[in-house]
Amino acid sequence: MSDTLKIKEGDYVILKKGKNLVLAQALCKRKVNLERKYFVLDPLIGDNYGTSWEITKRSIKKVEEDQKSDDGDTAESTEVGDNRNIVDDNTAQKLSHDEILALKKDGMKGEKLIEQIVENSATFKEKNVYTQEKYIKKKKAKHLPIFTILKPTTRLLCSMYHAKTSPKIVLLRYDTVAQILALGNVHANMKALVVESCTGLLLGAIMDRMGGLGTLVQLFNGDAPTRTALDGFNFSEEHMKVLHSFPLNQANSLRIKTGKTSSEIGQTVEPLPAVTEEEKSCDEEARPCKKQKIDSGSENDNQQGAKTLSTSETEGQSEVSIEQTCTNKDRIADSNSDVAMATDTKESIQVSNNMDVDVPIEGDDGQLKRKWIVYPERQARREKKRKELDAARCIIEEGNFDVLIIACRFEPCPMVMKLLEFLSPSRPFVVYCQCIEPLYECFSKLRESREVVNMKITETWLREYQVLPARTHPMNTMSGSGGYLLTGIKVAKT
Amino acid sequence: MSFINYSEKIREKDTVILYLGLDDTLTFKVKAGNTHQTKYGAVRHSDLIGKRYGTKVTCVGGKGWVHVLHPTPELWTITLPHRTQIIYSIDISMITLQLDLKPGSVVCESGTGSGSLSHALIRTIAPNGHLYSFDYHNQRVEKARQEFDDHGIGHLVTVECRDVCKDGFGLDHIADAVFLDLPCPYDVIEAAKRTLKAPGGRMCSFSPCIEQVQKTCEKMSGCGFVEITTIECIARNYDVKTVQLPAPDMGPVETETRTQPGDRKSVV
Repeated sequence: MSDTLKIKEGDYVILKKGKNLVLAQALCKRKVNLERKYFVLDPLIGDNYGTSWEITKRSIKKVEEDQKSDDGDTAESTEVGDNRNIVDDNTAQKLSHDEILALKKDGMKGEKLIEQIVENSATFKEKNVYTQEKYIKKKKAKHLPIFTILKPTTRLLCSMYHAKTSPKIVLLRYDTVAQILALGNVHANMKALVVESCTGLLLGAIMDRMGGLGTLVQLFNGDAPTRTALDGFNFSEEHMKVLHSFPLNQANSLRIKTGKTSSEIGQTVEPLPAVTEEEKSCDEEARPCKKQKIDSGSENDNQQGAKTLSTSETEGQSEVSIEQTCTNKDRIADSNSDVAMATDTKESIQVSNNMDVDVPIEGDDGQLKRKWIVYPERQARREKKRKELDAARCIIEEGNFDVLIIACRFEPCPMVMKLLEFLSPSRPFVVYCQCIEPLYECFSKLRESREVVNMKITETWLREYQVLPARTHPMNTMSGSGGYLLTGIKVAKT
Repeated sequence: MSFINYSEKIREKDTVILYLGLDDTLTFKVKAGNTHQTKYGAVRHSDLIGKRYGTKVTCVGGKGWVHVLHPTPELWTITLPHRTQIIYSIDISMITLQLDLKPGSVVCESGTGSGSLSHALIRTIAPNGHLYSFDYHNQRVEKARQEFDDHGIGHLVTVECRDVCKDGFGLDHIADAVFLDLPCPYDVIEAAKRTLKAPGGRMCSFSPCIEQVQKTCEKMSGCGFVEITTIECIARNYDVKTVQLPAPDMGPVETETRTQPGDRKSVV
């Protein structure tokens, strides 16, 4: 495998300082933030992953291999001091915070600075060797702004997201991700059906394991899938082609078809009329569709295959787009009055070409003037999106999926029961939930259906250890829960 | 059938998994004319050929039925005949994640053992990666080679009979990841490091005892490895049952006071 280990411009990279991982994009002249220090990453570009860098003023400087100080975990103690005479009253360190800052400003840094601090500590000599090591390590972490640059991998991204924004990824811990990938038998050249609420993290992990080969269909909630975490994987355009999207709120309209292949796309799918409609409220899952929503940038960043449905006002022209209904009945959007805004409306919202702004249109009956201006590029984009939607629908209705993976913030049961029909027999499914109770319901319903075997609900217990000579013990804190998994194998209906 | 690509129908020479119940599975290679005995009766191989994986098969003798499943590394792990202590899916999944494996990765492992981890590694690195596996037991090496060929993955793995502790790996700078499951992994760290590609790679050692872990970490640190972490991962199973808890009999509830000391009225 020829893996490019040189940092390219535009790559997402991980900055590691101690236990802290930060994801940043390596763009020229773009400042990044690491523990309240701001600097550009320009010197990194073209260099190797795995190198260490020191933060200086607004930029960074490479730390050469020989300059790197060792971790200092190699102390072997023969004499053991102890803390019987040490009183913790903050008077041990002679240098004040300001004095240390002054030293730093004068240019003293690195080992020398640490030496100074150690010298000025009245109690340092009394401590035992291990405590001294720990003290020096702590001072280094505080005063030496050095980080390592790493290539993002599933492992690093999962650890990072779990440590920082765990609720955004439905509390999915990295060992649970590992389990999902293994129990789902995720491999290249497979067809996977995924519903996830992890901002694309689980999608990325699955795509990584598929290596750009196969098909992956995501059912997303809302107007467009949120896939910010996917950026960190640095997938090429070619690799991204495996990914298809389909809106979850049309899932109930999907019917498994036999004997139809993806090559028949466009011939059998009924064309959708190009009209807009007001969004109705969703009643299937008792969740109201967002009627008013200004799409935030993050939601619209990734529009591959995403269907953005909205009516927008851009400098007075109307945007004609296709609406998704939340009803179970029709796949085709009902026609409604097309929205056309006159050029002289008061609400002129400036939007870029990429963003569509959702504006309530219910109160607009008073409009007297109606103009319909359609721009060819927007028309082409809409056509493209419609084709992608139809293609995704075809792929799903073909069935023959090799795995069904659900990791959502919604009730899993309705999704599992509906989507199981698209899974081939003798294929696994994995349902993740942050709480165990919803999985009990799934378990019971699936058992009644007699369509699954080998069902298990599991939880993984993950413990990290500090392993040092004479200082080996489990870490003092441990994650309490990484969520629960319901797994099983679908079989032919009995 | 192969462990790296799903097939729809059962064919002659396929390795299939018979599912009898929870964690009750067995495996055999399909050969027309053969019959396999199970606790629910006999399963004729000829009955299976041409059927879809996932079908329910009624056993001859009418005592019950079984399901025929397509093999996967996870099913293989719970079904395979043990020749050594094996690594189970919970650890396998963690190892795969921590070694940053994906299609195209090149991995070195020692020892091969019963091939439980090997099957999972090959599944992950297919179709264009490679696994170099070493074991010092000749018979195990032969059996592993045979199994990999039967399972349609022989082209992705090279098994060699070799004592890596004494003779090293014989491979220089080709691997993205190295995995060690040995009694003395600390003796092999230097040699293992040489197999890793020049810019770097990941190494993992699996040990049951903390003393082995300590020595290995020390050696790794000494050889220049960084980001050394030690983790333990255990799976807890939940059993879903409807349980009726009967109400406790604490005697009748008193509504009248006593008429005499020691005398109580009962209310039924």
